[in-house]
Amino acid sequence: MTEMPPTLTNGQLGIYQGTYVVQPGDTLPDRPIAFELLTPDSMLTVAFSQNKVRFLNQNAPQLAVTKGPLAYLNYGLGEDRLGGAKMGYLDSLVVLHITGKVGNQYRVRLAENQTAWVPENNVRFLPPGGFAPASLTGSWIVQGDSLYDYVRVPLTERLPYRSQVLTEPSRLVIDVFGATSNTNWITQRAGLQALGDVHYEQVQPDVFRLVLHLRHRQSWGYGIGYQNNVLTVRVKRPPAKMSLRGLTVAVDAGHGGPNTGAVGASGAREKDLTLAIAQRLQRALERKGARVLMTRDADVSVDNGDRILRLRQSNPDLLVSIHVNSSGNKAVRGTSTYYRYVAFRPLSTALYTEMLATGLPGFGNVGSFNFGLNGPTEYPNALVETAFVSNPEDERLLTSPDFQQQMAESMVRGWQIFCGLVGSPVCAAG
Amino acid sequence: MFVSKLLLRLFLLLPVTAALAQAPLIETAETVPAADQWLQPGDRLQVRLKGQPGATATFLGAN
Repeated sequence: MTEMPPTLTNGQLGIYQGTYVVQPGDTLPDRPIAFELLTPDSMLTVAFSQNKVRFLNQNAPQLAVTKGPLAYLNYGLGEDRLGGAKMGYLDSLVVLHITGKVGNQYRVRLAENQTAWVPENNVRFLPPGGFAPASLTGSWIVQGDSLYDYVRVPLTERLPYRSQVLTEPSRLVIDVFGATSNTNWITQRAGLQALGDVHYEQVQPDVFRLVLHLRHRQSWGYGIGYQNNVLTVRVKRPPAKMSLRGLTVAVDAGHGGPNTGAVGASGAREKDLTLAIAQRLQRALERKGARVLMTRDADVSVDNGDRILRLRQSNPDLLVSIHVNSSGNKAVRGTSTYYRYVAFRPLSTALYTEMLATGLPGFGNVGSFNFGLNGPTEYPNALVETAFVSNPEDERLLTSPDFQQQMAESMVRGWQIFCGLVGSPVCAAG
Repeated sequence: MFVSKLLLRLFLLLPVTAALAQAPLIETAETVPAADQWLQPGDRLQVRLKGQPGATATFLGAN
């Protein structure tokens, strides 16, 4: 080990660092690391790390399968109040090749030079002796039924995948890791409404990419999962009629119950403000003929994972999550909106534009936001951080019933503008 | 007589023991990151030790 110069240790003396690159054939079975320190006067001391280290045997691949309805992959080991940056959700029983672990996350080998991380409580280990996951792809069937367009790609096992909707042109791109093409035809049957050209690329020997062009500029969502070992992509179509009447709109009031959220100087609580605004929004939407799904309609605690599961099951056309912002700096104020995927940016932008029209200063329209309720791909969604309860002027507005109503009506107009982006003319108001 | 000799020896050792208690040769020894890890060939095991300056520190039986 090397004793670090004090210039690199904030002046501390006696800091030693070392690196060992694990070599083929090395073995270390889950044990603390032993350290020795030998002083110039020949005093020897031994210490052990608190944490344990294991060197994996590459000749015995560790395999695991995803479990639960909300298993997901992370890009890396980052962590903040929103959790690590997520690569995306996976269906259950997807086979993962585990090649490492740090803390409570396992490293997953997706493909040559491509890795991800999975929380340990998202997987179940398989008995030893299995092979690293890989599959040839079969020939596709692309077809529509009365509700969705589908792409079905047969595989011999459930492989991990990553997806994104790219814009201009609008297309859904899905990478399947460990898959190599033996797709010799793509059968396109009747009933397709949302999908245009569909094809694939073998972007590297073990990454198979589906490229699914969308006929409409605006994506209304999609889901990916497995039916047995058939990768099944379900693409949502735009609503038949661009009107709030008949649309199913989900409204999420943040926090609730013992989860109070932020509290303002006058005592206004985020959970009460979000519910009050959400209920006003619910009434405004119902007046225009929309069917409204509330994730909560009382002062109760609902876990964000449960909210996501319930929303997935109820399959809304749109979602807005309502929160109240807070800052350590009382001078900070304004409204902001958040989206995760560029495909849903138009919804977030429309909501932001209308929230600014209330007179609130702008705090920004924020993309790639790693908030749980922005995670689903199945329906366009956005988060509105209405205003800062930590700012006295914003808190006064947030607690004003008139202003709550104004914000609710602004969100309705935001949805109407969003509908106008995907259908012409602007979404009819009922 | 034996007891008093023992006490004398303990008395003589006390300053040394006290000094050691104040400044252990190794204060901390940890992996970086400080978490349980599984590593495979090609991965780096990183470690950090805080101890008496000017010494020779080793881990895994090597420098």
